[in-house]
Amino acid sequence: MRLRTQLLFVALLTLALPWAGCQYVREMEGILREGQEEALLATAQAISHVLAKEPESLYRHPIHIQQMGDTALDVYAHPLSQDIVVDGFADDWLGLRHEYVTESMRSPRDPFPSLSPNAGKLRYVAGVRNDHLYLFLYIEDADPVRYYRPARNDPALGDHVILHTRIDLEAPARRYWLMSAAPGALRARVGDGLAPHGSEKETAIRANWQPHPRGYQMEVAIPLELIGAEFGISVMDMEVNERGVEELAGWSGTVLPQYQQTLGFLIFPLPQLDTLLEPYQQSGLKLRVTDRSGRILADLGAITLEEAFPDYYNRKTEIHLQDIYRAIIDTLPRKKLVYLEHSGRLHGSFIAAALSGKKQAIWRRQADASKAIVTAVHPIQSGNQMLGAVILEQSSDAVLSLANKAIQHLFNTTFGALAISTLGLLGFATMLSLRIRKLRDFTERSVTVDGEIHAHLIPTGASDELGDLSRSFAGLLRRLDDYNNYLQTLASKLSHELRTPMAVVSSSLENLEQESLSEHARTYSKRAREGTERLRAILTSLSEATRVEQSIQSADPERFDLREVMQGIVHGYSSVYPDHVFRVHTPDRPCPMIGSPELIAQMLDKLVDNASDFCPPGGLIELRLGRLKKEYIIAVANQGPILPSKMQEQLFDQLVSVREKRGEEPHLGLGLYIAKLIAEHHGGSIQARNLSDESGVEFRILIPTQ
Amino acid sequence: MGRHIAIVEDEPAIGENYREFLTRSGYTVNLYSSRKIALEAFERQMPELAIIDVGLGDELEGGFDLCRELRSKAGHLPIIFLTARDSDLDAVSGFRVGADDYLSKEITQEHLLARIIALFRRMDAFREPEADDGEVLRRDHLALDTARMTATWRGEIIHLTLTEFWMVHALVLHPGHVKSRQQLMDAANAVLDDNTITSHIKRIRKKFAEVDPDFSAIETNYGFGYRWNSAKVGA
Repeated sequence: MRLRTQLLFVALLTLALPWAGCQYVREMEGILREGQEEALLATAQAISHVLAKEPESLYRHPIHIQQMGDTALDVYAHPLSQDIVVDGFADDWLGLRHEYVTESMRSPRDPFPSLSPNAGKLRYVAGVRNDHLYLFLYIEDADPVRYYRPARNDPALGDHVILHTRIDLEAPARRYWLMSAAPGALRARVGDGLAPHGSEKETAIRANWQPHPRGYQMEVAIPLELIGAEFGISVMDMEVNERGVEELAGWSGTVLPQYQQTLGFLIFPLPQLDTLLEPYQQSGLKLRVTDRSGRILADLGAITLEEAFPDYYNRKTEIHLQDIYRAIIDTLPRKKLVYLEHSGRLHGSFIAAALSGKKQAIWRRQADASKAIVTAVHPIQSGNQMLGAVILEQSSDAVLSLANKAIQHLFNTTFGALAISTLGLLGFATMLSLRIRKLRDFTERSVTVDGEIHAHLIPTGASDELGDLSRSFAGLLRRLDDYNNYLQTLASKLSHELRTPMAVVSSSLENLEQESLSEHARTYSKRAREGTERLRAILTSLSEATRVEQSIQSADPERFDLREVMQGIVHGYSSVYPDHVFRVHTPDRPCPMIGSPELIAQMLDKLVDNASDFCPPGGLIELRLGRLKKEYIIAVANQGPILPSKMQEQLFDQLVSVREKRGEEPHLGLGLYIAKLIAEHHGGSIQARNLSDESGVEFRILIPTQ
Repeated sequence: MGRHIAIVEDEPAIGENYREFLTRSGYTVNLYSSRKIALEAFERQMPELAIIDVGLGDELEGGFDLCRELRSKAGHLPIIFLTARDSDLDAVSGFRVGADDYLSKEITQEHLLARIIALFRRMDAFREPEADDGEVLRRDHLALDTARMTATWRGEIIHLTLTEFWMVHALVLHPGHVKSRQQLMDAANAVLDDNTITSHIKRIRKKFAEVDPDFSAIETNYGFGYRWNSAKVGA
């Protein structure tokens, strides 16, 4: 892993700081929420206490407070926000049309709802306004609508609707019959019997009957004073049987009079409850009270989800940051509702729990809004009696801490500091690794492949460890370079120093030979002479490299044709090396270059000399001159034994020889070194490699054309 | 009484050896171990030929200084450097301070003797200009007097050292023939390496060019040697 990556990982550790911050804020968030929950619950409790003392504000009739029947039989009337025209059409019911209660048509022989879809059904909605109960009934009838025929004088023989009520529980129920001989306004009849016989006209009730393709619909307005605590609706569907007699084919509604069923209660929000709740109203607070079955008795206030006029320009940027914080901190569940509302009734486990006496608060977050809603429920209990529930809903910022300017500033500052320190660390890491990389590159460049030191490291002035490192590298390279130089000049120094004693020996020997010597002595002196000759040859080649370097330095560059030199030279080789076959390949065009032709010739001499040493007698020595884009390539190939792989780079060093056999001539491996010196003097390079088919060795020299 | 040769050599063994050899060859030899002693002796009597080592005791280049001083005192005194310092640079320096020859200590005694004889001959030839000129080799515009070891090109004297003289002689003797470096070396009785020969040839060309800027008779045959090309000599 790169140093920069490592440091980046270390830098990531600083993320622990904002993490800790988030944890802290979340905790604080929890406390803040708890506080708000408690405040809301306290309000709910206060309201429920007040309402528990005044149960008559919840229930219209004391009987209702005492007992609770089958709530499915209850009829709930919505508070109406506008006047209803009793015309048999539902247009003025507005949104309440969606609050229909649906009851299936039932067979009179079967009290249980028929599952047949053709049986027809009743849909109704009830409303209260100005001391009147309004009803809208929509009846789907499988068979044609049968109108009441006045001639028969029995209203019950046509399709009709009965409204039941009981003011005094001991008294029998009173019924209002609603039937019509034709579409339009109709008159109700009132009576206490099961049948309309003996009933009287009731003028206080207004009703209107309108047929529609699948049945008929009816709108009814009844003064509330005509209705007691209990209330029920029956829709009677009459039909003519096979004997030609009208009989009850089906019924729907909350009650079937023939079976003497108990009536449900009429439930609607009482105005005195609103008056009671008024003091608890505040903006952004939605206050609801239900009865013990979840019917809404009061519904005040509204939750404000967004500010009315957001400061658009100011929020534009801030929202972004806040959104990020929210995403980090917000843990609220996103859901739309905690309870369901239908037909004026609240459903759900949350409400059910409250109605079984449990107070609680719950948070939720609107999926697309930045606001959260806290809902608190509190049961209304009077002694052991459950009267209903108080439901309070309030909106607040989804993340309460964000509402606090100070905390938001803290957030901004923390994140800013974090970003700066991470960037700083990253930058520092980059700088460090750049410096190290630079040092490494420079060190690598300073020493060539063959171990020569050609560039001096410039130590940096930095006072840190890296600076120290670069300085010690520089020192190291300098010392190494000095030592290299010492080694390079050692041979010539040595040969020079040895030359004088050798001259003493050889001149002495020459003088000795002039003396009259015995046969033995002459033999020894001859051997001594031979030995000195060989020593001399060794010393000469030892200092040859130095001499070549000197002559290279003093060589004057001139413009010449490399091809001509090459061709001229090869001409002579065949006579010098009669044992080998020479072949030369040169380009068609002249190859002009600037340099020393003598040196180039000498270089070729060395290469050919080397090649001839290795090439078996009769073998082929191939010389090739080629022109590349920017350089000339000179190759000398022979069919000699291939090179050991590890020696390929050292071949061109001084005093290195890979020869297996030792000839009589001392061989000090200077030829290739000289060839290399000359190639480098011309800005070129030399390399040795085995031929691809391992049939021999090739030495290649690359020399730039300019 | 033979001719008087002075050897200035700080290494007594070598000096003694040469003295004995030269004495045996019939010369009178004086051996001096330092520049100072040699100069004092030369104040009293000039030798007829001086063989000087370059490094003299502590003086690394004492030989060069001595040569310069001798040259200023006796313009025609033949001076030979006989030294272990055989680099091109040293040889050039040697010739620059006025030496007639620059020899490596590796040279055999016979070769040394040949050089000494040749130098004496040239000296004698200068002293007796009216001596016979039967031994003059003429080629193109070149005249080589093998008796006096002098060379002229278009009538003008070319100041060649003995080594150079013999090299030119070898080339001119068979014009058109390529002489290898080894052949040139043998001709000059010198132990020289390839590079030294190259620089000798360069110097020879330069000397000719001083007299005749268009001189190009000595031709390089790359990788092989040199030859005298008469065709390149102008009218």
